[in-house]
Amino acid sequence: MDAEEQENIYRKKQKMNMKQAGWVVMAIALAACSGGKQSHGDERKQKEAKFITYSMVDELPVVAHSVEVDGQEVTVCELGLLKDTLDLPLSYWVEDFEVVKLDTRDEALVGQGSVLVSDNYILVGRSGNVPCKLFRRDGSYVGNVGSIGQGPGEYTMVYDMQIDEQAERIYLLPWNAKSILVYNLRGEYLSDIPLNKKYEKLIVPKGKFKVDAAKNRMAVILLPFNYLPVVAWVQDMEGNFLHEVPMNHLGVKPDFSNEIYSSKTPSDALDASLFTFFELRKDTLYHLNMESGKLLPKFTLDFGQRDITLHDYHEFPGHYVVGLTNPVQVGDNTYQTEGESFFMVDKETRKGTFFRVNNDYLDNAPIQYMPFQFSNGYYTLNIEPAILMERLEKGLNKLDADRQEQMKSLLGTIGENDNNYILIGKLKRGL
Amino acid sequence: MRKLLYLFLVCMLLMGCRGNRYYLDKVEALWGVDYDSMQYYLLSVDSASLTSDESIDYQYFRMMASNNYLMSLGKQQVDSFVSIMKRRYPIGHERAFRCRQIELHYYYNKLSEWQKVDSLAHDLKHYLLTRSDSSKWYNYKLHAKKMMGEIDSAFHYIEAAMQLHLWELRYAYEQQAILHHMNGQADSAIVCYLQSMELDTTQNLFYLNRLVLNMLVDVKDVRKATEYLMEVRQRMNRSDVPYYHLVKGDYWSAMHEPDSAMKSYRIATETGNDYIASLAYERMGGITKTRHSDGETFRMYHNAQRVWNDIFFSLNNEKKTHDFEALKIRNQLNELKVERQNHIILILGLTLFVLVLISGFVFYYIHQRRVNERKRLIQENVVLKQQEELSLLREREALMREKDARMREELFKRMHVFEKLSTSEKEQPIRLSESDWAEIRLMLDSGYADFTRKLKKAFPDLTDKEINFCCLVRIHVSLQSLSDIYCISKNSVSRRKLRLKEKMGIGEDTTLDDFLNLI
Repeated sequence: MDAEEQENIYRKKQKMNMKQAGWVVMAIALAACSGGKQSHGDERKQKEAKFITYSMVDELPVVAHSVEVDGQEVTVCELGLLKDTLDLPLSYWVEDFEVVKLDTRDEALVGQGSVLVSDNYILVGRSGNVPCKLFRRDGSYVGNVGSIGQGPGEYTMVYDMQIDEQAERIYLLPWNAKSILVYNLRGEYLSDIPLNKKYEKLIVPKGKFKVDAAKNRMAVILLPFNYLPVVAWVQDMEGNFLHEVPMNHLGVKPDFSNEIYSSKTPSDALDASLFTFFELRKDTLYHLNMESGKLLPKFTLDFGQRDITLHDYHEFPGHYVVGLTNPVQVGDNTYQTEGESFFMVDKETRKGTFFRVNNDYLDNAPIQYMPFQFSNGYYTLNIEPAILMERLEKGLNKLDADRQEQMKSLLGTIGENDNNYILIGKLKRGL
Repeated sequence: MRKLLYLFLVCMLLMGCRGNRYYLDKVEALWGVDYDSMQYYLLSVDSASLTSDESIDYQYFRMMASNNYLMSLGKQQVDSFVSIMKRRYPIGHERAFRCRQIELHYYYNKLSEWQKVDSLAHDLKHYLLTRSDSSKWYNYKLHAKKMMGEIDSAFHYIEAAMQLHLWELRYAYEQQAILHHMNGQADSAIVCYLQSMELDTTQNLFYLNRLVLNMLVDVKDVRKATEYLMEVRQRMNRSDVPYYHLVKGDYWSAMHEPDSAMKSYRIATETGNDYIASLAYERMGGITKTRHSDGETFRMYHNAQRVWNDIFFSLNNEKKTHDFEALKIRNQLNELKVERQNHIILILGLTLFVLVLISGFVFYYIHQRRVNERKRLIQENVVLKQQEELSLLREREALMREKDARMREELFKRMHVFEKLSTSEKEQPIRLSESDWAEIRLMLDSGYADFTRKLKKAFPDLTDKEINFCCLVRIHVSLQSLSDIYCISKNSVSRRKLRLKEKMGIGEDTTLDDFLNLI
């Protein structure tokens, strides 16, 4: 065996050993890497939104198109076309902003109930054991509207309210209701309006309604538990159905985690949309036409390739507004939503954008859950005096000079032991 | 090699895992320093794998850290634990005192065995460690005496605590008021309550207000009671409104003014405090009951029940949320532990990888050196072999030359002229004719590859005679023969060789013979 052959054999042996060692090293390195790999959840980084200014509203992209469904024009927004986020002041939406100090008498003290404003009245909704309370627009206390309980004119939880100044009536729709409670403008209970005479087992678990006393009719849309026969109807004030809309595909599981929303915006119809927490599905904003009794689709959202998330619809005179949110578990069977973002679509131009709203009347702070603070043509906020003081103190410097003066003088009048304050802004026509 | 690597990795992993002893030591170190960190380590303990000593320590820390945990234990468990601690730690050791304190606290809060509490507190008196311990000790004694009906002794402990400034004055006055009340001394009680309320900044205020009001009503001092109520109204803030109206309702009830009471209670139900609302509903139910208004009474009690249910539901939800958060934190804690271990594994793995890499380079370097060394050795071997072969060839060549020379010599010997040249012993002149010279030249030319032509070519200055001389030298004619041929002495022959060498330019280190042999 010559030198070259010896050399070749030696090299072959060395190669095999190196190969084996290499496998061992790679295995250890892989184990280290997999051991060190952090088990994060499925975190998707969102791209930084491009923030555009208020003056660029006209330059927004078209994000929706129209489709015809059974002769009805439906606006379909494509989520994928929405890119930018607009910072809007509250003054873009409302005018005649005012801060109303509620009566400070003990019997007038309110909780954190929702607020319904009409031309001359403020109705603060039930909160805990505090019943609905009626005030005039100047904040002076009129009286309780009913009381908490199960007797006549009493209620435990209220889902919808309406003030009809022309008819001098206040209407309350409790949960699991068989009738609407009717009060006068002193808060005195008058009567019930039965909700249904046709179906024995039909109750309204949660619902939205609109009374048209002049025409002796009312429209009702309920949260459609799947065992109920109808989802909406128009009836007279005695409970007789004039029109009804069967359940069809709108049924949801009987679950009080779902909601039904209405902005009470259209004058001739009752607008409503469903919010289903656990059944993720594409939803639609509907109008229940009080004349025809038809439930007409008006707006929906096309998620495209994206997963369907929790979303809610709201209708403004000139816009559709959609909220997107995420569920978060806070208990064994308790969930909340967090991280809600909103976008708007112009009804005419179909241009749209994500947006945030800052309260440039008060402290330029962002307004959380903005669409939920609009109803019946007004922006409202029920705020405790201590919180209002704190916000004003922090936000004074962020206001313009005129506003600053106004808020400073307001701050000087707020007492910690006052009743709550109601912030009211009238929704601009066309928006 | 591989087995060693794995063993190394396992050892490092085990080093990264921390045992229960480590956690318990950390708890002890952080006690009183950082509550959150202490709780973290306490939660990290694996209670299923504790040794008996560790279990005692763990129980001790848990009882000290969490009143809820202590109260959840049974009497036997606590007694057993305390007796173990008493045996283990002598008097004077902090834990000896603390375990007695745990026992006292347990009997005080859970069992309410006042004789036992009094006795245990008495035993503890001389072992109090801190000011806080003293404050608690006086409190235990006060309540034990109070519950045993020894009011005078109870007063004594309050006064002692006040002298030592162990309690807030507000609390001391309140306790005095309670004792006066128990003694039936309403006026003194009221004074103490009012003194306490002057210093009170908590919600206890309205509880005390109600006590004062009730006492004033009990003593039938209506004017004072009414004045007091108005005074309270002036001092209250918004959050006190429900309390105030409840107290006012109680006042009106005591004054036998049920309608006014109902009005106040009604406001109390609607001002946002669920607890007060439920109490107010109950009181309203009591009033309507006296009126024999069954439907109304039912509704009131039903409302009270409903509110209690709401409170319970809300508290339950809070508890569930809290438990969920605790579980979530525990999970996050475990995730952090896993992450930390993963980091350790990653670092170890990377370190190992780097070490292996370095080892690999070193190994490779050594290997390369060995390879190079081996190559060098192989090459040297080859060179040696070649040299050996070369030597062999040279030997063979030398032998061949020698053989050739011998053959030539033999041939020369056979030649006629060579006979003339072979004069070794004769010392007679040798006469070489021209033909002899020609033969000699021919012999050399044929035997040594044109020797004379090469010589002439190389040294054109050489004469024929000189060339003839070179021929004779080439065929190794002896000095004597040369001397005989040229009829000169041997020295002259040698000198002739030297002169010829100089003429030919041959170096001093080479002889003419050697030079000519190479041609």
